[in-house]
Amino acid sequence: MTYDSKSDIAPDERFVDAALREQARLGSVTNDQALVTAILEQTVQPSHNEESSTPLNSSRDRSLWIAASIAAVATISLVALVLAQFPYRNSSSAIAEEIHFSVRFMPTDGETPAEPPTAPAFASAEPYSSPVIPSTSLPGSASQLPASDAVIEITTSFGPTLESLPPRPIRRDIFRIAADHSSREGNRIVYSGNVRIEHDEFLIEAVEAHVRASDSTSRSSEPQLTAHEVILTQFNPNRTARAGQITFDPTLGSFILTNVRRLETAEGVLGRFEDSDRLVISSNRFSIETGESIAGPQIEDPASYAAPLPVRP
Amino acid sequence: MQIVPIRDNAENLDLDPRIDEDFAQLVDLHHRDLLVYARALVRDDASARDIVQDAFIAAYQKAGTFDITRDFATWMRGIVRNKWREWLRKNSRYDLSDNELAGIDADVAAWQTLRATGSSPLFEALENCLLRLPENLSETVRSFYFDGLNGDEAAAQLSIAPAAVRKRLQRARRLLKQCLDQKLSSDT
Repeated sequence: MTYDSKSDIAPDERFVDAALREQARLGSVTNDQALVTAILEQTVQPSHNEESSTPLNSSRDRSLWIAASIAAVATISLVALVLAQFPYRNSSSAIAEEIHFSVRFMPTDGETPAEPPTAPAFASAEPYSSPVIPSTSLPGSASQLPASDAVIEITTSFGPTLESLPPRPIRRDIFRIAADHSSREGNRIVYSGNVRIEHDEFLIEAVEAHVRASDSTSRSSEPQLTAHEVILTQFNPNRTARAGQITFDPTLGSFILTNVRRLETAEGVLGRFEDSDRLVISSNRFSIETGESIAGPQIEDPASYAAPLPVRP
Repeated sequence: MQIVPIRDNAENLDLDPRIDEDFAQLVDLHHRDLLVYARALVRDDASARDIVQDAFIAAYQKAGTFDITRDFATWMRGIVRNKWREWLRKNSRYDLSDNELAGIDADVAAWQTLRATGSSPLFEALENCLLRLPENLSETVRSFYFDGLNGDEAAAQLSIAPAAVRKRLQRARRLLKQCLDQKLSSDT
């Protein structure tokens, strides 16, 4: 007989049961930052996406207050940028930056490619030159991606401005990174201390994060973004994963988590992972890859075909 | 059930939900206790989070009607209860009697009151109480709640029958409740 825990809890035990589950989910002192953010974005800090405006915007005083706040934040950001001409120096004050990962899929035949097909994918990052302005675009969801063997170009840039690219299929993922400290180590920028990486669909909280810097050139397989000791929260569908390391694959728009400790989804909780397991999460799917096999709700069984009928003489 | 006096909001750091900055602090202060409350009512994490989120949004929209002399936590629990009733109607789920609901409400209220005065909050107390559980109950709680195993998996891991897991969890929850009530008494 299967033991259904839900039906076995008396009403007078529900409080302790709920407290235990909440304790197991987030520990004693951690806030549910994703929930708090979601609440604040719909109340005191409305989303930058005008389509999702709430009835609160009908309050004239509140709107004026919010508009004044945004203007003040933009002004402060501008002043801060002027004062800090080079954003990657060691700093003891909290920093916040916006990073764009753009993947351009180059033609492999037919038209003349912009780069020789044998050239490695190009990755670069540039310090921003204007204040961080929240983006209203929906990254990563606009374009259909071509086959995975296409030649690609990856651009990593800082700041809200992105130079125009030729009219090729593009996927773009925008991240905003906030941390207590940042420094440059070789071709990477290292963020540390209360690192928060925000994406329209995900929130990553980490102890440390590395981002490939502007003058680096690399093949697309090298990670552009790596973070350690992370909690990844996906807003819709709601999923939370805890892991030792996460990398972002801009070509697929997927996060790859290793040393996974726990995965919570609306369907249940997975808490037993092997060290070699990889959890791959993207906007609309997740899969768990083990050393020997691949498991996950979206993985299809390999197709098999019957042998063709013998040809009669 | 233990009766704990509910204190006036005057002690609640003088936060006014009609002011945006204060509202953000109140969200920070109360969301996890309300998550426990909603989770106890709906028995489902995702629905509990939806209810708490909707409740805070409703509170913000109606903040102009809030009487600052009243207790914000009590007001929020009332909104969560209303959202839960809406959820019950939509989902045709199991209901609670008035007494059962009042019991859960009193438990959460007591801890919210303590949190508002800056004393040891629920989760720290629960952590201490977990350390005081007998080993066999403690390992069962760990497997079931913290390792995310279901009853059958926990039974297999602990090499006991599923019915024994159920009994151990039941006993652990009751002991934890007693321990939490004792902590409440000492803190109040």
